[in-house]
Amino acid sequence: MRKFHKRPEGSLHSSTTNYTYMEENKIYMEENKINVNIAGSFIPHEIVVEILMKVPAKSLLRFKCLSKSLCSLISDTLFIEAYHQRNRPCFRDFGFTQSINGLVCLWNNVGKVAICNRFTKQHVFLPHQQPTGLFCPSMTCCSLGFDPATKKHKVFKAHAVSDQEETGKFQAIYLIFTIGTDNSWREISGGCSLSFYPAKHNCVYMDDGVIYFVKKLGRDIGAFSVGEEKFTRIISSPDGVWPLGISKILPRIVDIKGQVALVDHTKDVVGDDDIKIVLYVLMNGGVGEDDETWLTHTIELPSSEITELSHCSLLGLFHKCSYMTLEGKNGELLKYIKCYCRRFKVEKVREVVRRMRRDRATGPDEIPVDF
Amino acid sequence: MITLQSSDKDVFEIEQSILIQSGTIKNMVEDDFTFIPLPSVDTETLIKIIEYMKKHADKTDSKEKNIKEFDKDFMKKTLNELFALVFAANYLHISSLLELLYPSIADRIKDKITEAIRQIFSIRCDFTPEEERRIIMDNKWAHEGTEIEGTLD
Repeated sequence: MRKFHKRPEGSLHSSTTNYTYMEENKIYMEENKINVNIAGSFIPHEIVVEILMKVPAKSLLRFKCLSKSLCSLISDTLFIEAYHQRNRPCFRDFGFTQSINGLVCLWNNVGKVAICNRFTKQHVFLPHQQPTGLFCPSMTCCSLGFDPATKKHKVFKAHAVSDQEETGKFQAIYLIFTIGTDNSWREISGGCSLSFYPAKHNCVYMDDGVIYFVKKLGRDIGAFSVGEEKFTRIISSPDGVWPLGISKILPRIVDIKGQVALVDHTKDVVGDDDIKIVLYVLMNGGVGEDDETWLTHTIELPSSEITELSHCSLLGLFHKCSYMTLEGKNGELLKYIKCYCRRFKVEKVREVVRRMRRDRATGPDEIPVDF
Repeated sequence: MITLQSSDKDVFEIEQSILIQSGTIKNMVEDDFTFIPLPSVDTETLIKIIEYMKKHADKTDSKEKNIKEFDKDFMKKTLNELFALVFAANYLHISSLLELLYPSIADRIKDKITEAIRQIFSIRCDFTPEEERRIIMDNKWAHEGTEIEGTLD
C-alpha cells in the first residue's frame, strides 16, 4: 500500500505540475533500489526520473535492459502514464480523419500529416510534402482508408494546385501514402477527371475498402477505391435537392448501418415551420453501378424544441445506429431515434459531449490532446 | 551583498538581486543571512552557477535572444559537469536551470549504447544473459537504429 508523503524540505523542486507522481512513488523507487551514480555520487531517484521523462520513447525502451530496477521503473504503469502526460504531442489546428482500426490521421494545411494510435497514444509523422508552385493550402484535404485485400492503411491527400496559365482556376493533385510500405508520398492520377475536388472533412470510409468523398462544390459523390488507388465512380447527388439548407452548407456524408448516406437539414423560411433532417441513403440496385438510387428519409423536429437553425448543430451521427444527436436551443442534447425524440437532462448531456470531445484533436498550444 | 562560500572554502560576493533566483538562498536572505556556506557545492561548480544567475538576472526582452544563446553554450559541458550542476541547482532550488539541464542530459544519453550507459552511471547489470536477450527481443525495434554511439561523455 503506497502512502502519500509530504514533500520533505530540500527535496527536489519539480518545476512541473506533475510532481505528485514522484511524491507518491518515492517509497516505491527506494524499495526498488535504483542505483545510478555519476563520478562517485549517488543520483537521487527524483532526478533519475526527471531525466528519463525527457528521454525519447525509443531510447527509454532500450534502457529497459540496463538493470532490473530500471526495467521495472520504465515498465511501471504510473511512470508510463506520467511520461505520456509530459510528452504529449501538440496537434493544435489539425484536422482529423475517421478512426480505422484504432488509427487516426491528423493533418494540417502546412504539410504535416501524422498517424496516431488511439490506444497507445503514439504518433508518427509522415514525410513532409507540399506541392511545388502555387497552391491553395486551405483546400488541402486528407483522408484515411484501408485496403482489405492487402490489409494496409493508406492516407489519401488532395491539393488544389493553380493551373499553368494561372487563370485562377485550380486543379486537383492526388497523393497517396501506404503506411508501413511507402517511404514517400506517391502522386496518383486518380482515374477520373481532375475536376473532382473533395470537400474538406466530408468523406467517409466504408468497410468495403472505398472512401466516399463529397465534391467540394456539391452535386457529386466520388467513390475512391483504396486498393485500386483511384476513383472508380462518380455518383450524382439526389436530384434537385442539393443543397437543402439556406446556409448552403454541404450535406455531410456518413455511414449509417453500413450504407452511405447524406445528411442535410432544412428550415423553412416562413415562421414556425418545423425543421427537417433529411437523410439520403444510397441504395444499390444490385445489378450494376447505374442502379444506384437514393432513398430519402425525413425526420421532422418540432420547432418548439429548436427554434433557430443557428442553435441546432448536428453533433454527430453514430455509425451503424439509427439515431442522431443535436444540440437544442437550451443546450440540451436531443436524441432522436428514428421518429421520436427523447430529451436528456443537461448533466447527462455534458457527460456525453465530454466523451465525444475526447475524440477531437484540437486543443490549446502545448497542451496535450487526449484521444 | 551576500557572501557565498564553496566547499573548497572560496568566497564570492554577489548582489542579492542576482542570488534570489535560488530559492534556497532567497529563504536564507529573508532570514537575514549575509554569509551562506554551501558545503555541497565546489568552487568550479559555484562559479558556473553564479555565471548562470548573473546572465539570467536581467530578463528584459532585448536580452532574450542573448540568454538563449548563452544557455545553449552553457550546456556544452561534460556529463560530469552537467550532473554537478544538477546537484547544485537541485540543492539551491534554481528551477530554470534544472529545466535546462534535464533535457540536455537526456539528449546527451539517449543514443548511447547500453554498455556506455552502464559504465557512466555505474549501473550493475543484474540480468542473466538469457533475461537480457529476452528484453532486447521484446523491444527489438527500439534497438534498431543508426545513431547509437558509445562515448563515455
